[in-house]
Amino acid sequence: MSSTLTPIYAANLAADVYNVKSAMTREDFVEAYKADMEIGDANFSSGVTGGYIIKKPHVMAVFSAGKGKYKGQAFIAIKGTASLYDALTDLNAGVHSSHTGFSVHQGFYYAFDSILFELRKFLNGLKGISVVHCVGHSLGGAIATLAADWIKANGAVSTVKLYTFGSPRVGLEGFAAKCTSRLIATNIYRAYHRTDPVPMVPTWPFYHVSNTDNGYLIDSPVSGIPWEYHLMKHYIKSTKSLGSWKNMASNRPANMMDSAVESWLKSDSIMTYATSTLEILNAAFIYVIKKVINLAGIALVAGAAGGLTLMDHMAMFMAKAAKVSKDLSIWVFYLVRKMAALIGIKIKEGVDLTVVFIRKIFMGMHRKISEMIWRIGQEIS
Amino acid sequence: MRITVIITLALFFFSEVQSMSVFGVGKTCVFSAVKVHVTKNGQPLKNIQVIRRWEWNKLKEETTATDQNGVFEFPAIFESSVSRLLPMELVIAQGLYIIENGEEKKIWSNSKREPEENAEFGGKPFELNCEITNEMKIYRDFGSIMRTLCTWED
Repeated sequence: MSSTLTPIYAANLAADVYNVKSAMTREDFVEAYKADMEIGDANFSSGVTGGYIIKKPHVMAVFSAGKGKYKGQAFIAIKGTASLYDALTDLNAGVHSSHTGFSVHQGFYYAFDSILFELRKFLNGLKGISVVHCVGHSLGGAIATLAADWIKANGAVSTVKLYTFGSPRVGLEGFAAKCTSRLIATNIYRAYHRTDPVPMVPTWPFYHVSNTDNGYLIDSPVSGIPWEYHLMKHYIKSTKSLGSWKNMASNRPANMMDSAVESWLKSDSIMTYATSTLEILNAAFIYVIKKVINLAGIALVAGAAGGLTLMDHMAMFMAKAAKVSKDLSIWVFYLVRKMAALIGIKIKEGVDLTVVFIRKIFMGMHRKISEMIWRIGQEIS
Repeated sequence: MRITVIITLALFFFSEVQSMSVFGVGKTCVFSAVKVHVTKNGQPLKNIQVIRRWEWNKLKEETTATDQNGVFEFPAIFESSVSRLLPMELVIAQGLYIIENGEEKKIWSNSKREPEENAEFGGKPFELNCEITNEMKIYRDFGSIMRTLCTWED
């Protein structure tokens, strides 16, 4: 039989690993997987035989040797916790050198680091395992990516397969390239809905793994709740209806064309808040930055050092690009105009795109949204 | 060209929150109204203590007892949490337990993954027949893992 998990099996596992948080449902997880995994409820945090169930402040995970039809294989199923969202939405967050030597999001780095001790012990205890399946949804997908990369680099297992659902981007280009070549692109199953916003962050220069294809993009409608299609119930439904990875690949919707991004940037249409706006804004952002780098060769050398924030670096990068040539400044203008429109500011062509001005637009947007989060929080608590 | 860059992570992600309405994150049903008939070898288990537990952000519980017909009921419970503002999975652990001869026995547990009332049974009323000599079994009929010795009408 093939040693690849089916999409529905991987999706169920990514969803079920959430159940280990509560003792009430942890034993149900163990019971549901007893035919496939060596894990037992007694293994909680102890790792006696065959597996571990780990509960850390930012990560929960199940490591288990397979049995029955999964004999000779092992499972790593990971879920992130709410506290990790701070890392994902922290505008001052930086990158950290991964355990395999490439730049990755530091929030994910520390989350993975917190389970590395147990992961190392688990792998050292495995006998006769040729395939490890790493599975995760959302932030768990990001940590599963780091786990897959580290396990393969560690060299103890010949094949490591990665299955993620709605995962954010994990690392910079170097990491994405190295992780893809290490795992081999065909062992990477990155499923995501078109209207799931989480895979759209962090924005460029973070790259998805695999960096060689478009992943398993699944069409999904726009919903009133922005992250509706980030939820596992929809990934379970989608994988059920599409059935196989082959089917999922052949049903991939088309990519957003550069020409569509260009005409959107040029248009002065009213901005509405919708996932489709997010998607095109993200594409526009990447489009403009790539243009700047290709045409002007400006590098954005950044970091949280020197008291400068990501916003400062971003503003400096854009302002510098706007000064290079008219060809470039018009694209920076289009992008800043769109961002300004989102916070209700109308800017006209010819405006001086200074660092201070661009930063003001970025920060204004950030502040307004933060205030709204706070206000909604107050209303419902 | 080698570029070492860190760029805004969440600008666009944040922007999405604007469209979130308070309506969309209102009260969440953490446990639907429950009506259960408990038997042992076909005979009603009368006047025994029953515990219902649930864990969303905190583990909570309440108790009641079966009546002369072995029936117990609980009303629906709703809670709200700021966590619903994040693009997070809703995961509510639920359990029903009886106390027989001083021993606690689980008769039903589930992971509730949707905020609506009666989501446990796909929109149908939460009404069970629980013969406690039955074995606990796993069901996946309603999405997540449900484990119980009880049965329900299809």
